[in-house]
Amino acid sequence: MAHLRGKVKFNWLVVIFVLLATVTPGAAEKGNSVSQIEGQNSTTLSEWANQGYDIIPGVEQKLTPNLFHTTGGTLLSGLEERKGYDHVVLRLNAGDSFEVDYSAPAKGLYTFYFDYYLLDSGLSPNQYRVEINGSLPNAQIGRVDLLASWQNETYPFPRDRYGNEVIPTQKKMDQWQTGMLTDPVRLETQPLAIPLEAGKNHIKVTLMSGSILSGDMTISSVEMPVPYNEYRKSAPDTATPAFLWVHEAEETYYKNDNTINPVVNRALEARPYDTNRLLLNTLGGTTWKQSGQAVYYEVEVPHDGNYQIGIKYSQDLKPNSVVFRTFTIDGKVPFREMGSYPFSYQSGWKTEILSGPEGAYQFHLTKGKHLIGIIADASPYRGTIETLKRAMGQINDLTLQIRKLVGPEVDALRDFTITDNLPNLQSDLLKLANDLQKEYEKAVQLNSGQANSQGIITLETAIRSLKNLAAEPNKIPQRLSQLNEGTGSVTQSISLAMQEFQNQPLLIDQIYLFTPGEKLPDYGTTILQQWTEGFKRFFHSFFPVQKMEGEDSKTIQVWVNRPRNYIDLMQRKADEEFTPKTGIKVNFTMMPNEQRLILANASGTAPDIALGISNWLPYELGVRGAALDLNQFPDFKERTADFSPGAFLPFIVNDQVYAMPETQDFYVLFYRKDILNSLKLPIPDTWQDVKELLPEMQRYGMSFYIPLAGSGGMKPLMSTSPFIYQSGGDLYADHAFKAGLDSEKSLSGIRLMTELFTLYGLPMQVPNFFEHFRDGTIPMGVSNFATYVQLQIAAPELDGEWGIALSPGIRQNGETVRWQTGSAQAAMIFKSTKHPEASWEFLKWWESRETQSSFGIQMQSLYGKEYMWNTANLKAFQDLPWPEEDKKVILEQWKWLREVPKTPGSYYIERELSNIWTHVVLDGKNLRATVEDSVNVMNKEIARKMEEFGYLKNGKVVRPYRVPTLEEVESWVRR
Amino acid sequence: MEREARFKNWRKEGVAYLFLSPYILLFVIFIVLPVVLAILLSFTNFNAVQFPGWVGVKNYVDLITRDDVFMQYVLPNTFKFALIAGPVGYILSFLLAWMLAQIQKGPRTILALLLYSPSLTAGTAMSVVWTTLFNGDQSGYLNSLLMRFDLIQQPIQWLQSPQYLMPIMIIVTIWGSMGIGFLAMLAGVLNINSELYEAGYIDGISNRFQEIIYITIPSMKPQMLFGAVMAVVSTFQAGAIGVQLSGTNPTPAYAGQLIVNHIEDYGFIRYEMGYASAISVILLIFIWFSSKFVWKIFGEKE
Repeated sequence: MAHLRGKVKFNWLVVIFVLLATVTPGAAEKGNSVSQIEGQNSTTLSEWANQGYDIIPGVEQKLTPNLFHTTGGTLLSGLEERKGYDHVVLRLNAGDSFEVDYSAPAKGLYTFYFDYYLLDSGLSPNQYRVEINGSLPNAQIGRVDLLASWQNETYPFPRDRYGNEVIPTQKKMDQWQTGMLTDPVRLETQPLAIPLEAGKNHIKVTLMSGSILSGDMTISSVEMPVPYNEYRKSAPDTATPAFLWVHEAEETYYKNDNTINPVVNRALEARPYDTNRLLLNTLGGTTWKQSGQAVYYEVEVPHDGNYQIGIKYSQDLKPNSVVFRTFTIDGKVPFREMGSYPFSYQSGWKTEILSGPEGAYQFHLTKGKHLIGIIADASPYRGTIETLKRAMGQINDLTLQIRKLVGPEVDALRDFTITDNLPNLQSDLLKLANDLQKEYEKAVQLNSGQANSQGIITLETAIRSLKNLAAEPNKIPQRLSQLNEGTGSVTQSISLAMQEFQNQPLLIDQIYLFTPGEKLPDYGTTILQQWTEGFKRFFHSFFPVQKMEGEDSKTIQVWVNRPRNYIDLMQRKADEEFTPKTGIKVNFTMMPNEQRLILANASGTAPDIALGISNWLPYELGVRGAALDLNQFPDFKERTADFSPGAFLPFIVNDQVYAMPETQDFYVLFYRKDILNSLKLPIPDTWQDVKELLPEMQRYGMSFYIPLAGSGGMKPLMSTSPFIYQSGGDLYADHAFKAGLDSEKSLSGIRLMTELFTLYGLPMQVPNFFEHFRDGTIPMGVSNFATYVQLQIAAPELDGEWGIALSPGIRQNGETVRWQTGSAQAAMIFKSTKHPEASWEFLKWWESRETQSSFGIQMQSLYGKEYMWNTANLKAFQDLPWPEEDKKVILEQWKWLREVPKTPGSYYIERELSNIWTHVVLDGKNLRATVEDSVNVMNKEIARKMEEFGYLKNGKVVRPYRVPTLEEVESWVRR
Repeated sequence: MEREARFKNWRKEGVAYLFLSPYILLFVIFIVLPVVLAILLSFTNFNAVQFPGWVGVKNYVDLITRDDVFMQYVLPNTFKFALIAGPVGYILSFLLAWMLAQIQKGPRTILALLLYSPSLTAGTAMSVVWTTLFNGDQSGYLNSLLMRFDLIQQPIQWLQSPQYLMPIMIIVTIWGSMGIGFLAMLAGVLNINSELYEAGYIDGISNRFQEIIYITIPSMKPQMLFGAVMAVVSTFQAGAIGVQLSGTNPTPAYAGQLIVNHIEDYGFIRYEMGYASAISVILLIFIWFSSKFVWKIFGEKE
């Protein structure tokens, strides 16, 4: 029954293996590239002990940079250059390394830390790699993070004009920091240990990304925190004068991740409280859930003595779950119990005084400043997560073996007896279920005996289905999707459970440091208070929102089609940077629906400027006389130098230009490095290459994606026009008075875009390319910015396993022509504006390199990678904290950016082109005949529209129409 | 003299007008005015941005002589859709109402609510359910089912293929057609005096079918009329369904293009409000004639 097909089969297996292996979600949600080391478990101290490496106490050896042998790095000694460090430092860029020899007093375990100073923005990860005596003794030290420290630029928080607090700009602290050997997924509370031999050891540190200054390296002993009773005994039991320190949690001293944000909590119990305004009065929540994210608070302690710590918290984001936090004092975990301290599920607000079975913990603090750190912590689940990961690997192997036996297409009606070939199948599955059962019990115990948290329930489901599958092993071939890959499959449940265990969200409001017996602030509320507050808010909602400052007629009104948090930052930037410089006040308003612009224009209430609007709208408004011609400003043309010429095409009507591009999309080729490598597939350069790759990919059940498959019934021009432009055709003929689809060149483009489906079998409908790309069924495809961001943030398991390349094109005259569109959002000024000069002034400021790049950086530092800003200003784009290699590809693709110029009848060409695709691909009609019919219809509609706009009268051209060309835009300014 | 009489008359009837005025005011503002405006706009070239200019009957001439899409797709589609979905939904409403009337109150209320709920749920929520069912991916329920039983090899593009879209639109519309007309008919059936049936049986009615024909339907003519008018109006006005299912306006190859979609197409995609108004006037005329027709059938003949 197992029919093997020799070599082909072998390739096939590799693919499946890769496929399955990559479904595994990564441990870290953070953008660290951890996948290389993911499969391997960390080596525990006891395992090291078995190999003869014990902790060597009492070591503290400082090694200064002048002892380092560096490759690529430079020693700096100037005071300015060493940023205040007290002696010579070593500057390292990505790829540089230094080596140092250390003679250890004995064979055993050590750790090290070194001083560093980040030279770049800190937004993209800085990582280094450590090799000991030429090898990696512990896979985790292959990628160690150098974190930045982030501070709020202002506290108290800035307010918007309605009196609501907004998240302040995050700034990186320019300071020397100490980098411990932390594990990349941050599942360990302690620094990693490295094994050293007695005598000379060779340590090599390579910086993998970013650029830093490196100071002293210190080799030290691994220090384990003592248990509380020992800690307590060692601290003197002095009488401490009464002290109470109440601190708002949102006022952090610094944090190691810029995306831990203050959040608005409107509960009556939260402090500070305001009935009507939105205050950022609490910290964390969903923004503080990844293991390793830390916040630090500084406290001035008045006397030596013993203090207690209290945290006012709420944990309603993970129902029925216990979450963990590790506490440090001055960078060290004071005693063992402070590692992974549990916080129980709590839907309201509650004060937790850190305490153990014998009562509240006493922290011994000396007089002076101390730093309290609170670190999100999933380390209690480390073992569970590792077991789950291993289980997924085993299931993948099993699936592979079964696939090997039964082939890719399983006949539903056939009876298999795979137990002949896989006699251990049943016992393997049961053993797996058993292993998971043990982890389940551990997890329940960690969750203080409650078995009703999301993660635990999902794990239970996985165990149950495993047992079900094991009961009838010969039915498994037909039920393979229940084991692997399918929705609700065992592997999916396991990976869900894993993610659940990793998430540790906690919302905190206040921190207390106090001497025993102090009374903590009371925040209980009565029902009466709640009703009164509710009534007050309800009453308040009938009044217009009070603005902080009066508005006069000199203010420019800007409507923005973007979410609130964009507008908050835009307003702040304009108030801080633009208004002081020019004296022009700007008022931003959120516009949820851009159709409102047309209605507003009809009723005479249009704003001065609209931002974030679709790129077709300026033309529609412009051609009907509602948009201001930007070309009338003498400095307009020079302002276009920073932009892609092709992006202006849709905004031009004859000599008028009605908008500027604001953001820009890119269509590039996404590919899975792992799958391509194992299949030995090249990255396609042309569509011909894609066609040649397809049979090979399809043999493994894989396919290729193009945006045509992603859109629904209507195939927009952005997905159809590239084929026509790439093959040298044009959508228009006869100065846009005719459609140009029936030219031979255009026809060959249309043929390509239909044949890919009819002859080469691309999937016609792929509603979610991202998911298919993730699970490996479509490992390659042309897609855009949205997919890029999704892959950046929502596919941690693929970190480092995917890449982008230039879009496939068509070879012409020895060059690959890769035209793609880049429709995104535009900015325009209305003709009805009373302040055209001021509006243009504003637009120039907003579209400038400085504003765009700082806006992009600030958005990303405030809200994380979800808010990557794809500015259309190419110069600004270069400044953004995106991965350098991706920026290079995108900028190169943008050289091939060509939007479709709009004409009065262009929407009809879009529509008929889509109909041609539908008729040819879905109805199987003849291409040439369909195109001819369509062109007739198009020409008729174009003539009608041209007549409407007065270019045509009774079939005669009365006014010429000029279709803008790339060359024309390029000629505006020297680039 | 005459003047005085008129004044007297006015005093007599004035109070009546006073009482009528709230209704008249609202009716004029929300019904008469928009209709008049639409008719006026239909003689202009209003483009939603600039001030409208008078073009006479050009829009109507264009609609009849130049608009291929309208003649070739929109009209046939609309009639096909209205003639199938309307009557089938109507007959189904009646039958279900009648059947529900035969059972006890408890289950009847629950079932009536269940049948009524599809017409309540917003179109979007509804088409979310149906688009999942008819998804063109192999993850669509129908495709997945057919592929599992090896009836098809490749997923079928249910919502994108011109030949499938219209039938699916009709099915979904019928599913959601147990609306207000259905409730009225249910009330109508329940309100029939049961003595009528007893009298009927004495007079020789021998089965349930005769009961329906001779007693039930004649006794609930007003509700039947109401249901029929509602059915006609709602099927002509339906338009969202095809766009929601296929995800685009215009629908793929105009396969599911109804008059309302055509109006939206011209009004909000091509910004030809004048022309769109002309089409909506035509739609108004259609609805008016169909209602007349329905009145003829079900109306009380006095």
